[in-house]
Amino acid sequence: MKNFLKVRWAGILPCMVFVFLMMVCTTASAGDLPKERLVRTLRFVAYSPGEEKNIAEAHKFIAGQVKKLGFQIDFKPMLRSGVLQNMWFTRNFDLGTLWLTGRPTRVDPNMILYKLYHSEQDRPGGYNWAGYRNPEYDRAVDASANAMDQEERKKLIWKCQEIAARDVPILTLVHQMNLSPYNNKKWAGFVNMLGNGLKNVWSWTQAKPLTKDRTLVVGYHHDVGVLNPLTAHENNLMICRTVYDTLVKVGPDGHPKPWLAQSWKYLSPTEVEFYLRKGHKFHDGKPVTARDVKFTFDYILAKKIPYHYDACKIIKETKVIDDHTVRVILHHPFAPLLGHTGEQVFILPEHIWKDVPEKTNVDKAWMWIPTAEGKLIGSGFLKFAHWRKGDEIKLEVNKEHFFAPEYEARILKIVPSPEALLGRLKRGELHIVADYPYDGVALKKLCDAEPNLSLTMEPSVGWYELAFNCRKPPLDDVVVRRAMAAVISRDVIAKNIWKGFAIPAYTPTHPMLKPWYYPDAIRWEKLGLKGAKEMLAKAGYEWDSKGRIYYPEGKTN
Amino acid sequence: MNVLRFFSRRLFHSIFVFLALLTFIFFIFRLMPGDPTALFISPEMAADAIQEIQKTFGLDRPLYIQYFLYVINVCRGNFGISYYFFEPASRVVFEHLWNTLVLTITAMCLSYLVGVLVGTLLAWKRGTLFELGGMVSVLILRSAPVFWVGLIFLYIFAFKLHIFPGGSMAETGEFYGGFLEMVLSWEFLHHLVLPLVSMMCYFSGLPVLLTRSSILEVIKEDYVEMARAKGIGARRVMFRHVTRTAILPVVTAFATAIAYAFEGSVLIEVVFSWPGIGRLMVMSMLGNDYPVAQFAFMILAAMMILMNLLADFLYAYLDPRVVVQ
Repeated sequence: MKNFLKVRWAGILPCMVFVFLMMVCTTASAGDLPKERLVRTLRFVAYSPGEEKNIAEAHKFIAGQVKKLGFQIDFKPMLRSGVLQNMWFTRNFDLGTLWLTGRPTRVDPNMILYKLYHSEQDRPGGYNWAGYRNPEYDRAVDASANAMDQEERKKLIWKCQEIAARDVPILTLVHQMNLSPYNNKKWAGFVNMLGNGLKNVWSWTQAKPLTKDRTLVVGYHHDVGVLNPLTAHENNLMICRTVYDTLVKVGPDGHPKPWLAQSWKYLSPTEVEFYLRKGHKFHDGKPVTARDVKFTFDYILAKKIPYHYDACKIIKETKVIDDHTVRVILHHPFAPLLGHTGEQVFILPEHIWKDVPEKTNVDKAWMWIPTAEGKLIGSGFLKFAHWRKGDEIKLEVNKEHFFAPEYEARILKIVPSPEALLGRLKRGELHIVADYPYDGVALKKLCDAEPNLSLTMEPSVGWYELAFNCRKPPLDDVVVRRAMAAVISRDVIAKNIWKGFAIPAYTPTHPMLKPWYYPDAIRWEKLGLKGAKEMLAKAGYEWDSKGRIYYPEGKTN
Repeated sequence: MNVLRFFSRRLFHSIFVFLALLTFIFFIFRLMPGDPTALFISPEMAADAIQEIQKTFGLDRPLYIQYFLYVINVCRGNFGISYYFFEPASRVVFEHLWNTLVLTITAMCLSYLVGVLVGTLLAWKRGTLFELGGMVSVLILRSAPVFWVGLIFLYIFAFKLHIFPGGSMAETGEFYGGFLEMVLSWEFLHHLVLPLVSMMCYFSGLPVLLTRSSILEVIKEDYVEMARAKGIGARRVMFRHVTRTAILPVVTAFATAIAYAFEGSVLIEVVFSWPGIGRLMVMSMLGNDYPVAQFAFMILAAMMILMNLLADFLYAYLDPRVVVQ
């Protein structure tokens, strides 16, 4: 019995010593890194459309890389509206991914550089979702908008990109390819526009039929909800850009080209005269005059039309000089006037819109449905013919237009499945898919195998981004953001995840956009994981035995 | 009297269920993440513009006020304006609903017609190789995903053999004066065939199996034996005595299937670019277009309730053994 006890004690004693030692050790290490300094789990909201496996893979990569730095991630994949609710309405996120579509109005660098980074936009409903505030940046971007001298403007826009890359409130990841497959036996002459692919007015005016089939059938993957020149949806704009004229259009090279305004002249930095084309008419036969231009700007300002107001609020007054000359007086010099305001605002026929919404059944002009009353009347090179909801929209060529295309009609055909889009394109039921949103690898394979299909690829002016919420710790610290940027390699995302169907986005400006793109923006990914950890350690961040990251002394959640 | 009381009670229940559903539908869509105005967000817009849009749609008010307004408006026959189409939700839904119904009701009726015939045939040929082959192919068609069958048909008949168009409802670029004019055109029929056949492959499985097993049950009953013993001809026994009883579960299934026809088939509509209600419902849910989603689900719920009620009536009428108590 005694022996037995001895044996038991003999075992228990070393155990107790071991436990005691362990306790000493853990309290000692806990003493080094107090619990309140442990960086909380980060909320990563991510836009995850089911059909986009690239985006899902990119999320996995991002989360994995950030975890390597010792951060804990709570990954929340959701639909676009959910992401926007978290990032845009409630600002309830730490990391968030978003996709920005390419549009002609987004080619001029100003809108993106101002809207997404300026501190004025960090307020409810503002577009600075990252919550970035830097007076130095604000000054640069404001000055760039006012700079009328191209060289001076370039310097300021470069500076904006330099600061944005340095402080990384948003990590722009990649410009995805705009994919435009088309039937080369039936059509030719499509024009590739910088950052937009073949989906642009230059294509639609210059397309040439090679066969007797003179109706261009364009396949599109999403239903169109409403056709109204005052509403924002991209699929609505696709139609309105052809039915309505604008003063200028952003050209294939990214710079403004004459459209309804044959030319323009700056009388002073705040006064521009536009000279309209003579003899041009709306689809109902009434002439397009300077009064319609004045009416449009006044109307948008007076009615505060949500989509166009920002493009026009720079305008102090519009004066009709004669039938074909209109003078626009600005509050202050505004360099992006042509590329932004001139490209975006559709010139409305006064005789139709003067009664909207007062003599219609809606309260707001932007909710009016002109197609229901046969009043979708513009002066553009295509005129509205019919609309079968969810199936097709037919537009006929306006033969009297100054850029009238050679064909007779253009049909937008709604085809919501990738298999049917490609099958019908191959068979010739569709002639072009101007913006193919699905997997590029399969598309390229098909187009290489089919001699009658050609594929145009153009890196979009839009991008896929990772935004950091700079309003609260730990991402309010620029060092943390830089460290994350250092481990998320854009080259890996572009080459390995998008398999070459995207190019890295080192700054918010499109790399082909000369002279605005700044090529020397800092690339944190050159540091790599080791450099990132060193940078964090230098700033006082520490890791515990499990590899979890702790704030520097004095900082907590 | 008894019958009347039973049905008035059933009707009352149905109305209660419907009202509860209205409330449920209202809140379930608002519980989904996202905001209806998220669709409008684009950097071109001014920062306060979204608030303006929310105000226009009445989304800035507290939820309970929105709910009361919704109930009052529904009672007045006003189902709200779609946030995506800017048209009354009811008009948007009906526009798409007709497109769906042309396809689904036709598919249902043909499926049940073919299904009952094939089912009877299989029951008659019980134990033969014909029955085995028939059963296996019905089961395969019934379990194959409907979009997959659709894709295969599309691939073979549209993209390889070029017999049928590769989707959509009517000829590209053709103008039709109205819905009827379109439906009565040859091109429409041409476009209808592939989605119709793909749907029938799936839908006809149930009536075939139901009819067959039901007939096999009934055929063993004493009264059938009795009828035979009386010397009535085989065909007369089959149709007057066996099928009339055996068809009852098929009738119920048909009534509920018709209700399902109202929800359409998203997958078929996507594969064949058919502008129907299924696609609309998915789009309205993804885009938080509450008025359209609510109205579509309301119609669907109403049809379900109505068709179940109708099935009860029909059952009582067709089967003398069902007694109202």
